[in-house]
Amino acid sequence: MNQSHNILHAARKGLGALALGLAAYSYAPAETPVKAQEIVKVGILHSLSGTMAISEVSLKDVVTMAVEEINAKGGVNGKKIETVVVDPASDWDLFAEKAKQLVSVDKVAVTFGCWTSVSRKSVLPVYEGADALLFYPVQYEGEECSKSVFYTGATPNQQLIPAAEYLMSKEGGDYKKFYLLGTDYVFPRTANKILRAFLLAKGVPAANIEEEYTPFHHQDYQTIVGKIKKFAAGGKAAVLSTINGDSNVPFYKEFANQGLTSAMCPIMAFSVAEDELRAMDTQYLVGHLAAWNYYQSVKVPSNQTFVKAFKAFAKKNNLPGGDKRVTDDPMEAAYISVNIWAQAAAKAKSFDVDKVRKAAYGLTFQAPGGMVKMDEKNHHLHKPVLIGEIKKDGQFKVVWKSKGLVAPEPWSIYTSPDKGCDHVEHEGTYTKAGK
Amino acid sequence: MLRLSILPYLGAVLMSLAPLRAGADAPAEAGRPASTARDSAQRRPAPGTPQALLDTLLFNPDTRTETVTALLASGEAGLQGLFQNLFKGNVYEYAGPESGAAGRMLVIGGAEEERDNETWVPLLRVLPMEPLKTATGGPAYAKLVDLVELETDREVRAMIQPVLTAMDLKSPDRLKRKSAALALGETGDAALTPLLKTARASETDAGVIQLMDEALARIDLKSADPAARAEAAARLGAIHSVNVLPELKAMVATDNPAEADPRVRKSVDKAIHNIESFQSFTGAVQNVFTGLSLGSILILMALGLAIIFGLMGVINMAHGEFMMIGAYATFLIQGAFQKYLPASCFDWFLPLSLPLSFLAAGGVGMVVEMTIIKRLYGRPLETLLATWGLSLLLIQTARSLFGDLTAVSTPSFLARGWEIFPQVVLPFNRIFILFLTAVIVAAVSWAFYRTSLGTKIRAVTQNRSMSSCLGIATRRVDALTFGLGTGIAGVAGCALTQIGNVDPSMGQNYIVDSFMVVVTGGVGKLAGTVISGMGIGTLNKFLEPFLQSVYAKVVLLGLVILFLQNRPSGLFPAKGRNEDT
Repeated sequence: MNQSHNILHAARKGLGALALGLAAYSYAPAETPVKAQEIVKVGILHSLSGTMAISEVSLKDVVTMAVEEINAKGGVNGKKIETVVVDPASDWDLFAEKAKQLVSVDKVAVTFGCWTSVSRKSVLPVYEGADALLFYPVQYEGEECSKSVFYTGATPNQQLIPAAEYLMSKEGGDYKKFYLLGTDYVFPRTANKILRAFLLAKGVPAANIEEEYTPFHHQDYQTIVGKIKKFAAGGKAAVLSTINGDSNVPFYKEFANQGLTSAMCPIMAFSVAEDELRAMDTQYLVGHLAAWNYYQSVKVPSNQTFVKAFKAFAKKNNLPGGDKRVTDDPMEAAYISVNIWAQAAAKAKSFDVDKVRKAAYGLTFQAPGGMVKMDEKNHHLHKPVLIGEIKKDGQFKVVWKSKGLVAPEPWSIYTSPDKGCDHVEHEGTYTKAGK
Repeated sequence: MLRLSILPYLGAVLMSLAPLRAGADAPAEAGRPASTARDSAQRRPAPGTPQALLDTLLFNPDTRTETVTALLASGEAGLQGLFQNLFKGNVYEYAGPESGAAGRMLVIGGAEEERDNETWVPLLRVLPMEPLKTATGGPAYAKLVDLVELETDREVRAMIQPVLTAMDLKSPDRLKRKSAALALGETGDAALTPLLKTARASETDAGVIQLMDEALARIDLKSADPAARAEAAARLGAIHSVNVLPELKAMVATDNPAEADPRVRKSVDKAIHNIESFQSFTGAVQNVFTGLSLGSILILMALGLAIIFGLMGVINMAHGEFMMIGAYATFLIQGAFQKYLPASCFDWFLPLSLPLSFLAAGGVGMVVEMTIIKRLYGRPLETLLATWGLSLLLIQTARSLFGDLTAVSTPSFLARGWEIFPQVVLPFNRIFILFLTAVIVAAVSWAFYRTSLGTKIRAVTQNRSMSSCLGIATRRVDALTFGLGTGIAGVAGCALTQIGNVDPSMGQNYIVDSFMVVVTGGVGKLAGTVISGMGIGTLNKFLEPFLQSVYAKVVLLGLVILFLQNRPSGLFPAKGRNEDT
């Protein structure tokens, strides 16, 4: 009820919002300093148009909010932070071009940006070449260890492995058969490679693992659901889904319509968060699971503050959705990124890339979902892992939580046991001794 | 270990729960401490009264596991709500004016409500489970932040799980009963047989009965008596129990079989054969249906394009966006129903949306024809570019009006499906589209061959100047034809909301398939579109099980290319002179 009313309302306000939006997106809001104060520029490199806009606009919003909060407390090193917002329009070539602009024309001290792995890969040479710094806030497939990037999203062992472990545990349902289903691109392919290696290592016979991919925007899941049904017939089967974006609704609908339920065969999703659920018809998803490091529903005071602050920020700035906006895992990671960078710059008393980088090692931050820690060596974050059950209102009920923080492993021990990532004693990726 | 140790209690708990409709969260259901509770407490001397145990649960966190075990064993009927909510994590410690002398009390949180930027939780007493009253007699609420969740560890949850599953056997929701029966069968625990038999006796739903029979046979399959095992296997074979197939196969596996007795093995072999032949039969039924369903969707998408492209020669790249308009029209009507009409009428939004999305998309189509297309007749390349530009314009307009992703819900009469055999469910939404396509194809061919407008359209298509000379207002006919084509696209969009989601670029997903169907079918013939749509749909679904969806699509496109190289004008080439080409 509320949601569709909200959308209707948004539709009426749409044109106005569009005009406002265009004005806001084309360049950073010009902040008129009350008194002359030095500024430091930071770049925001998120798609504000095109297919990825649905997810990335929220990250731009939350980064802007984090910057405002820091400025309200007096900025960093006596300087006020100013954001430079560019729109790479979901186009991978444009990502590299805009990144170059941020680094060499705007001379930003740091960039917060990217969502898809392909966009990150395309800007990587820019940041490595210019020795600039990028904070990447999305859970990803790992197998990367760049000196120029801080990864604040989960590595496979902070999302994929705990989820599979949970399903295999008695509490999680003691599942024995796994259907790995994904959209056909790099993240699902690598994720499933790691999951398969993990499951085999845990003694799941190869016959009990099925792997399947669909093209982007796939709509017809009849055959696949039929196969899952046959696969799940003996019971104790679960789906591990890396299905992306708009294919999720047809998949879950077909799943329910063919008579499968979360009790018979749960779907554990790695790419469905609150922001995506915001506009979906959730009745078909209720009871299925997801694995993340943060949910809006996490019941701790720091999160209440964060959620409230974001809703107020969205309302104040007339963002589409207003105070009905939600927070999710990549947004929390983006928020952490800005704060870790600001802390590191304050600790280094400088904005120099190398000094900030070194200062960031081992930093801790009271994130909305709880304390997190930047690793001392590998540029990835120590985070808690949470399994959530999808509720009717598009929020998650946390059903399992890791004990303490899980250390990041950019190179999965199941697929690359001989590789490690270390920027202190080694130069990034190295081969472990004795292997 | 713990899970096993509580199984003996399970029966006792469940028998005492019998009169209750488990699964219902309503406090009124559970709020009956009644005499059963007292009786059972007397029959089974528990280490403490339930109320005392609840206090221990609250004040002594170290013994939580033991306390829950004792609570499960107490047979107290009113505790069902506690177990359900403990599992969901809705049991809290509450400190407030109602919590009495102890200062703290155990409460169950109801459905969360958002008020004044805060999340509020209505509070319920644990035993009996009924709304907690404030001093003034109103319902008590607490802010979610002020409540402390009663933490339960894995052990406790693992203990509660089977109790909840067994309670689901009496749930009013048939899906819950089904999964409960399935789960109980999987445990293979003979202690559950009486429970299942009682439930089986009062069950009326054929699907649930099937699963309950299966569960009973599955339990017998683990019996120590070979005759009982053989008989159970025969029963499973007779009811074509696909779920037990892996277990049966393991019993007679070539290396290290689980079953030694030759008589039982024989019976199991026979059951496997029965089940497998049934499975290949249902598989074929399912395949045919999925093919028909995809075919009907393809026809529905391509029909409008076939009219515009085939009859008018206009390459309408914005065809997908007219579907999108139909989908958004449906979305808006759904929103209006939710806002202005009582919930009981909600299901009617879809029947109403079908004609309205036709009018919306058709109306926009006619405006487009009169403003853009009519200036470009006979210049296919310019039309192609203009309509492509139009599609971008429409996508961006939709994006700024509606945001990115929205969804239309399914009316209750289209949710779920028709279970023709156990394991084979034909979803109602797909059956609905199958019929819709049949109706629209019939209506369009009637309009073309039985009405004067149809005759005029065909006349203009064949020879524009001659028709004009004979007094046909060709401009008006053009506009109407275009309107008809785009209107059908709108109906397709409306129907597609029942399968997928609604987003601004949804049209892009369908445009390639639509062109493929029209070109393969042969330009200018509706029969061609129908046959090629069905052909491509069933071929795709025939290939997919072997090749996976990515490669099935590749192979399919390859086959279409090969076909078109041999027959460039498609299945049904247009015959006769055509001055425009």
